[in-house]
Amino acid sequence: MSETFRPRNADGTDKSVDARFLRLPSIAERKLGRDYSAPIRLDPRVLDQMQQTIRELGSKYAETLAAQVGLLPPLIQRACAGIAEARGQIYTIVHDVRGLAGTFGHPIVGSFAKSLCGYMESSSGLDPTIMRFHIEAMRDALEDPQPDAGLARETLRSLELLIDAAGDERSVG
Amino acid sequence: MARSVFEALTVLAVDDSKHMRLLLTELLRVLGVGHVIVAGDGDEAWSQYLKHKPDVVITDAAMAPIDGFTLARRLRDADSLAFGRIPIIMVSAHSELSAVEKARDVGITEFICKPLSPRLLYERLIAVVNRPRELVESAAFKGRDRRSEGMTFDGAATSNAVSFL
Repeated sequence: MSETFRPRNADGTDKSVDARFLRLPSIAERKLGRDYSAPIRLDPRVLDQMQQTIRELGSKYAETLAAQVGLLPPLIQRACAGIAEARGQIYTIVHDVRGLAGTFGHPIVGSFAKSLCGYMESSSGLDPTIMRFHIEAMRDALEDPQPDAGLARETLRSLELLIDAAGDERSVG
Repeated sequence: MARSVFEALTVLAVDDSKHMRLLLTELLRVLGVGHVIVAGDGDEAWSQYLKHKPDVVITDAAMAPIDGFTLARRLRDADSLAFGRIPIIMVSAHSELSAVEKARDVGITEFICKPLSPRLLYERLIAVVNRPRELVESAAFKGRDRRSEGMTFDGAATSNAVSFL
């Protein structure tokens, strides 16, 4: 198969290029022959097994998650005082939580972590109230075995308003 | 002949979190992937790539000292005309438009936003395994088809994954 492009030079003259487009076999074809195509649909039994795997590993991760969140409160004061090391430590932990908590069955903790990450990424100075409220929200969601999704949404909205208000104050100031 | 294409696959899973490495390893094993190799950052992943020549790479974005974007650039530089581009699936907590565009520009094949779901992992893996690989050959250039690098992304994706091919 080949196609011809008709691009133009700066002076308007033709600058055609002949090019061949080659189609190499897919990985599935290369491994198992031309007629093979892997099934698009995931076997429900395999899906069940995968979800079971996540639940099993999630119980181990829960201990790590609780320990990580527990490390955050002592760092707030120094991070808000502008000490880069403390800020970096908080961000590293919260970013990790943002990525993993939802995967391992703690989506509410993950959403609070995502909000805090966003705040830290967009703010040069850190507000101790915003930091503390986020971390407390994560801790409360962790301690509640069945956190209320509606309450979590409200809390998240309140945190967003708090962040917006702090941004407005900085703009005015 | 292997029972499924996954049995014949070697997948390199890269993440700085030991929990995520373990999760990816176990999920890929449940899917029947024949050989799973892990690495904790881009540098270790590069060494593992050279040693094992995997069929697919699944990588996190934010890692130190070498992140997933730098790893992807190295892998793209190593793409061969004979075997085309190795599929790279990026799994990242960074779902911002800038991160997705950066992933596109360094040659990521599939982008999945964390939290990772089993179904999404399967769908993206099947997509890269079933998809033919395309190359361009002209008098001045011989290599992978780079038209996807100009692809626009409006940030309006409704799912948690973006495909760049």
